[in-house]
Amino acid sequence: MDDAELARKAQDGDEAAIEALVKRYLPQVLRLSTRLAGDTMLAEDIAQEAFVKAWRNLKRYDTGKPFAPWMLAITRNAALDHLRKRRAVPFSALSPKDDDEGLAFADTLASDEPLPEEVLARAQSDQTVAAALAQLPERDRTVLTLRYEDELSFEDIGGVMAAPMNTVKSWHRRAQARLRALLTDTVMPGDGRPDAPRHD
Amino acid sequence: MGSFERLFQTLPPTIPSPRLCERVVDGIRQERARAAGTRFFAALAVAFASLAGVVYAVRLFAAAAYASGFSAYASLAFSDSGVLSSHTTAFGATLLESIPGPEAVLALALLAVLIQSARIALGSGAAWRMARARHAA
Repeated sequence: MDDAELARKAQDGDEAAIEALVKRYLPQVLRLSTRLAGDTMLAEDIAQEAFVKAWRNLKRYDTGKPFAPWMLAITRNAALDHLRKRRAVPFSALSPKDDDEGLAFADTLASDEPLPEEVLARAQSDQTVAAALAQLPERDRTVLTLRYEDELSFEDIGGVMAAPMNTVKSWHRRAQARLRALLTDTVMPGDGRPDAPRHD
Repeated sequence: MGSFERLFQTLPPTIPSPRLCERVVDGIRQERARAAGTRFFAALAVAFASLAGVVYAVRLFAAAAYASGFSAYASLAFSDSGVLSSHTTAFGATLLESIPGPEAVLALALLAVLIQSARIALGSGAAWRMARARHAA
């Protein structure tokens, strides 16, 4: 049964359909909440809260649209609420500053600017990816997780993050650049920043 | 496959435990029970309020019907069916004119609210009991 059919049945109060949706989307929801919370226990609480919120708002879900971005948007909001309460910091502090020093060049990079092979190989073998990802600001982690782990399109990521597609693409480039810089610093200390953009 | 795709493949997969799945479903059941309970008690309160309103409106209607002569015309229709059959048009028009409109509308509106709230209370009461029983199980 497809998502729209399940969601329609769930909207009518069918408990089996609700359970099927939970089973289908729990891995994705838990993955995003784990990436955002960085703590398994907290991620489980966030996942539970996200599904309860989704159930509460199920009548508002448009079955003509894909379910995953809607569900992941609720998950992200639940995670941000948790993080805000837990850290007692303003919402704006969870997002990176767009004018971060040294990253202005990110917008000039191609969307899929590859990682240097050596960095990639060492990062893969050292299992440093999760640690590097955890150091990124929330917005970068969300974009990269949705793009590479959930394999969502930029349009769907825009749906999750309530942003236009071009903005998401820009965030994605910046997130890639930040991750590249972090991995380079971690696996090849001393090499510093990623290559400057070429203007030839 | 791009280098970032390859990089993210090294991340350990997130596999939720069956216990978490049960916990989430249970959380939704609890929320359903809570929502059904809230609906039940709200509908019950509205039903009782509208019942009191209906009783009051019926008394108002009865007083107004007596004052306008509607009661007398109506009882005549039941007691002497010959009058009704021989003067149908004239009797009908007089009977209609004597209906106390605002009081009748008020009584009917409150009756509609009572029926609707009673229906919601019955439905959500059953859902509440069922959700609680499932949650307890």
